[in-house]
Amino acid sequence: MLKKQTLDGNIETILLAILRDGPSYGYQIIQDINTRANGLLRLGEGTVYPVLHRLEEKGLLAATWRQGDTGRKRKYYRLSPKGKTALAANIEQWHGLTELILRVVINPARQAVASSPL
Amino acid sequence: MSRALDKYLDQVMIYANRKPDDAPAIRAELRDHLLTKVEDLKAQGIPPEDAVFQAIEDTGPAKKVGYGLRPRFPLIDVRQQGTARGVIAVGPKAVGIIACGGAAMGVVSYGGFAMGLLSVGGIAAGLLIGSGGIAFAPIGLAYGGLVLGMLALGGMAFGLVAIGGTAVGFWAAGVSGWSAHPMAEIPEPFKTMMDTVQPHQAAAGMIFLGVFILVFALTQWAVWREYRRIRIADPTLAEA
Repeated sequence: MLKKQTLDGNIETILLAILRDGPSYGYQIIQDINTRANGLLRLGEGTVYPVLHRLEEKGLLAATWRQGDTGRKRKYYRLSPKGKTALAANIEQWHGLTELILRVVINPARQAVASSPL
Repeated sequence: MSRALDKYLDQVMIYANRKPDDAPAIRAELRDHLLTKVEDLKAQGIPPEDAVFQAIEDTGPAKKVGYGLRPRFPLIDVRQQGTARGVIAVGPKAVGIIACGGAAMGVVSYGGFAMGLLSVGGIAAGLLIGSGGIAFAPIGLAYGGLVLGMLALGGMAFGLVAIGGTAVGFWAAGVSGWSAHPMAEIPEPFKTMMDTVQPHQAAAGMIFLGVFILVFALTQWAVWREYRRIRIADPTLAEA
């Protein structure tokens, strides 16, 4: 299970990534995260909404209210063009970071062997 | 909807402290979340009452959820947990124009550890003025017990210009200490500063005390105002 501190600042990227697949609402977004994380992360459900609101304020998400399948009005979020750009930039950063962690932290010995002259 | 869900939503919204124009939408969104969760749990065979309490528990404590839903930088933000952010911010951690807390960061800050332009606290780091048990002011006046600053004034003072019981500095005046240069060689701007401050050390202390009392009174007023708001909205929360 990941610690909250490890995730600080990255919940936004996770939410943007979930919404890449199409519009969704708070509860469903949380379910999707839990399913995809497969036990690696369990979000405090109430803490997701402030982040969604923040992303909406920043213009990274657009939101509309419409009738849900329960008959209740429901707030749906979708990625805005600005959100798509931000997500792409974040993914690029994460690729770089993942590569760095792999090379330096996870597998430094193998990297050293791979880069040493024969 | 169950009374327990209503009560929970009421409490969340009290802590969220949103304006009447956006509070209903936030409440409706959270209500939809809770009802969907309850329906899901019931579909899994959990009895209705248990489903309600499970939904509330999974959503989180009303205080924590409500604080999370507060406006981003309101005029006054008083919290009992987490980081308060506002023009006047009071909390265990506080960030604001006037910040007060265990750890406070602001233009004017005071607390256990205070950092900002003008800081007063146990450990105070002020860019221009720092006053406290241990005080730093890199380009300004540090005043207190153990002080380090461009102009340091205190029990043990270290600085470009240091005045105190034990004073160590480029130019230092004290009961004991060390000075790199004779005081006679002090450059004019610093000399003026020293001449102004030295005879009025007691007055400087009074000014710091005055600022401390003023900021303390202001933040206590903010705390009183917040507790009163909560007590009026829900007396059971005031006891929590």
